[in-house]
Amino acid sequence: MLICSILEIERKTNEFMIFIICAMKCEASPIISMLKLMPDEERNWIYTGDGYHLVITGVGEKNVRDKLAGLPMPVNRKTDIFINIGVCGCVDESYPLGSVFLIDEIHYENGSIPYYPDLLVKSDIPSAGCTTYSKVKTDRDCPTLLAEMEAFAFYSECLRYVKSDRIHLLKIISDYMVLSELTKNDISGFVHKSRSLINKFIAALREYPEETAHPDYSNYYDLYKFTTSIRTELDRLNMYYFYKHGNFPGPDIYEETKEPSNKKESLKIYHDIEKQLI
Amino acid sequence: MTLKNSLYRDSFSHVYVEKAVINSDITKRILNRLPEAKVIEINHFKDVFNKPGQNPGAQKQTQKLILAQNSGKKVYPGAPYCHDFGHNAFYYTSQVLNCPFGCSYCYLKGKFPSANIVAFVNTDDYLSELDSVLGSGDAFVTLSYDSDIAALEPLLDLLDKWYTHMSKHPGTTFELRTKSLYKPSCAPMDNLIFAISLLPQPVIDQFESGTPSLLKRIQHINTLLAAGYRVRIAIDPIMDIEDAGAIYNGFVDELGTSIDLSLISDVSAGCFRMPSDYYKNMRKGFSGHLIHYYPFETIEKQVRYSKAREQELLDAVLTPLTKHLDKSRIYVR
Repeated sequence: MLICSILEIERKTNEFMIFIICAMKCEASPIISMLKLMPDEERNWIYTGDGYHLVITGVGEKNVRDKLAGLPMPVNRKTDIFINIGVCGCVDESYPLGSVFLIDEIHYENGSIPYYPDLLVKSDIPSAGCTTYSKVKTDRDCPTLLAEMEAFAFYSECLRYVKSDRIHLLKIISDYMVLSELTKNDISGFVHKSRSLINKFIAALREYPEETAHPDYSNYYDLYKFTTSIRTELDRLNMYYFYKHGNFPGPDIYEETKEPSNKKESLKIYHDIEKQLI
Repeated sequence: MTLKNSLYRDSFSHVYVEKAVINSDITKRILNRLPEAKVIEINHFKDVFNKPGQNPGAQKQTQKLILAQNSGKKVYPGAPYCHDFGHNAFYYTSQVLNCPFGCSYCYLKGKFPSANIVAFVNTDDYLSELDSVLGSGDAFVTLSYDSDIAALEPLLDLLDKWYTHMSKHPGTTFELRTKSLYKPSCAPMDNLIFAISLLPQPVIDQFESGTPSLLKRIQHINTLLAAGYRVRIAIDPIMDIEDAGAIYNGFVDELGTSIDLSLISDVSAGCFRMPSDYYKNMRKGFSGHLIHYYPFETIEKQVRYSKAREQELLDAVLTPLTKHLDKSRIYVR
């Protein structure tokens, strides 16, 4: 009975979510259809599918911060992944419209210390720097190849949830930073054409390793009335056992014949288990 | 194909270069050796190396290179955890931070917030500071402290200036410690010693990911000795494994038969030990190895094996070693 509950928890922790963050519905639509995501019943800015949450934040820093700070769903700090996908301007017309970039540096218009996202996962997508502006940028006076309006806020908000290796940004060139009449259909078209690259990148992220999750032994710990410090120590020794033997300790180690009736008996059970784990 | 090969980028796919050194000759030379790398200009190495929220365990799978200028202190007094080999003064320098090898017991995993490698390219400033610190008396300087600088030499090429400078300090012994098969670009010198780290092959397999095999390191030692270089053997850190007694006994016997130990300057040995705060950091950043959960003891802010186990492990090395080498040439920490 108890060991079943442990296995159940192991299985659940091996599932992780990829959060895809877009500023506009027209950026999100091709991804929603590609991943077959369904709208949330209560919030029209969230779409969900098997292993995915897609969040439409609205354009600009404030919208991104508001939406990400108030995510209504839980985030697993150790396993979940965040990707920002959106269009951007480019200072260099030699790059064709629709070109896709992974972002390797994120500057902010006010000169804050830039962020440098980790680029660990292999990808055919080239990397480039971007600068986040608070207003639409219509000149090319920009220190990076790309310019847009959300990346800096996205990155700093995601750092509240996960470590830097689990944060990624994909930007698609939609214009050359001159006043132009860019329609929603144009934007959707750029994202639509990039679907295979985006899909391949997301597939690679699905292979990204998770930290080995420690099963929940609290049923045993409660049964034997272990103190907090003993629980912490046993959690550590369970991991030690895992790396030594390739599996977590089971009932042969944790099942006792009787419950302790006092502290002394509780301590004795702990020492018995400890001996077997080491 | 392993997961690592298929999933991760090659190491040094991106090189971050401080604007202050972007035009230096050494930077250009290093970048020429990495023609595929994307170069990103940065203001200060800490913007990348100390950035918030890093996962060094993940970064270690595909390390990036940061080229920078060290405008702070460059030569430090040696740490009490380390051997000074009886010298009157003991200093170390850290021209490179972090190491390309993946030894799971390494204190670097708890010392720095990042697994990326920083190389300070202003070697002349290091040499000037060294001149001001060293007197004319006996001293010991270790060059490969927070890294394995020799392992990175084919890429970084930092050591030639050091070799030239060593002749100015004949009273100082310079140590270059490595697990690599680095071939020195200098002629043998009386005041330069190569410390080659050796452990039994089962320990290398379990704890020293990506390093040369014991056999190759032994062959390398013999090559260095034959060429006239001074060589020290570092059996440090001695790690606990199953059948440790038999394994370390056999290991020392193997050294005795495959290396002419009379030509070795000395041997240093010590059991695993690490400042407890580094160990805590290492466990946070690197969680995928038995060593992160081993029931160590914490004694005077150092994480180490129990006294009794330490003694057993040391005996397993020292008892057979003293059959081959006089005790005066064995340094134990």
